Amino acid sequence: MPQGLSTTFSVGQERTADAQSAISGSADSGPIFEFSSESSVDGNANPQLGSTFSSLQITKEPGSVADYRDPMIPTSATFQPAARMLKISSREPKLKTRQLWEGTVIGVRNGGFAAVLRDRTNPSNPDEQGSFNFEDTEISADDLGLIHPGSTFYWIIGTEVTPAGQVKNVSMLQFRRVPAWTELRLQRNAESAHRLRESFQEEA
Amino acid sequence: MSDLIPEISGGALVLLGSFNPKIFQPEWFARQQLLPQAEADAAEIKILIPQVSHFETERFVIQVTTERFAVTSKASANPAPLRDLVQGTFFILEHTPVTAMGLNYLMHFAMGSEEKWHEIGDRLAPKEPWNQILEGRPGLLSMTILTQMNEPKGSQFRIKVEPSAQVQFGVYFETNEHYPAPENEPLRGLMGILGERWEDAQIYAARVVNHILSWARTDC
Repeated sequence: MPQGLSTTFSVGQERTADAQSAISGSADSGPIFEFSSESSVDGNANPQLGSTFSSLQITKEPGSVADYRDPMIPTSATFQPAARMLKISSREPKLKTRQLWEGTVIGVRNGGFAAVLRDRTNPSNPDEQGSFNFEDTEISADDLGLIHPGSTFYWIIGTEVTPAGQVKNVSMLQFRRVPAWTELRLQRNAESAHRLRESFQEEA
Repeated sequence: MSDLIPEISGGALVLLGSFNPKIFQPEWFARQQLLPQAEADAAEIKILIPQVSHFETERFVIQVTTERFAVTSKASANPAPLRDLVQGTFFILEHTPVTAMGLNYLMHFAMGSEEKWHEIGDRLAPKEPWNQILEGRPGLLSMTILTQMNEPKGSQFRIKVEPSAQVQFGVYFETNEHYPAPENEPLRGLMGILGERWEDAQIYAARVVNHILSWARTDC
């Protein structure tokens, strides 16, 4: 293994000040949301594994800020519940995505809209067109205001396993939320473009 | 052999840098129209102190410290919208100093039986040398493979394999595409990579995992 990489490797390796990584929840990647080396698995689905599983798939929840190992946090404070990277609770439904499309609205009419659909599950598939009725489509009320020509959305089809073990087919639309350009930002960009143009003219 | 669909999957996006956790509250995301108001209103705030912000919405878990910004999709949600949330956030907070970004995917696969479950571990980590010296039945608890990616410079791909803590006789995979920030315009550079790679990273992760699972389940 190349020198210098081992410090960002998996749990249990020697930690150094520069041991930073962007791996999610990696125990070697950041001090604050890292659990203690004694962290244990609760409710392990594979009991043969024992009790000292070192992954953040699900771990003991620290009970005080001291568990976050951040010297900046007052150790006397307590809170409940504490953070963990992967929130996969047996009380939550679990979505199994079987098909994902990204749609672009091409027209809005009374009672619905039409869209071009790109298959994100199998990107090599050709684009398709589809029509959606507001009455028959699972769109949150907050998203209705986002529907206009050019807006984009995800159409997710899959199965959802409820906490009780029931399996439901689900189909939902989630409109993409991208921030609008503000007057200030447009103005700043215009000024930047103006300066750039002047520098080109000076060079010429 | 057809591709397996994970029983549980999710995505996580991590940025390293310097952050002000106090900013990151559900209402701020709603005000910036990055989250639906109803989702922000229903958010469950876990911690909100100057050094840490941690809350959960219907679809996301958001954890921000002074050095780390992490958003994870919940098991009940598809990770695709996570990209918009992060790009939108740092489109607004355009001067945030960042040093690295990780695109992460997490998958739990059911192997169907204890025997098949053991086969995966035995294929990935043959037990012959261990059986010669250890008592009992040695098992694979965690394996991480790291490789350097060709582009951009300094980027890495790593994949972790572990027994699933969520799925009975399941295998857990976690992939990480790690990108150090470019020297020039680090935030813009990383957001560009995010825009281009988020979906492809997921497709690549699924391809790698299915390759390993197919390999491990054949010719045993």
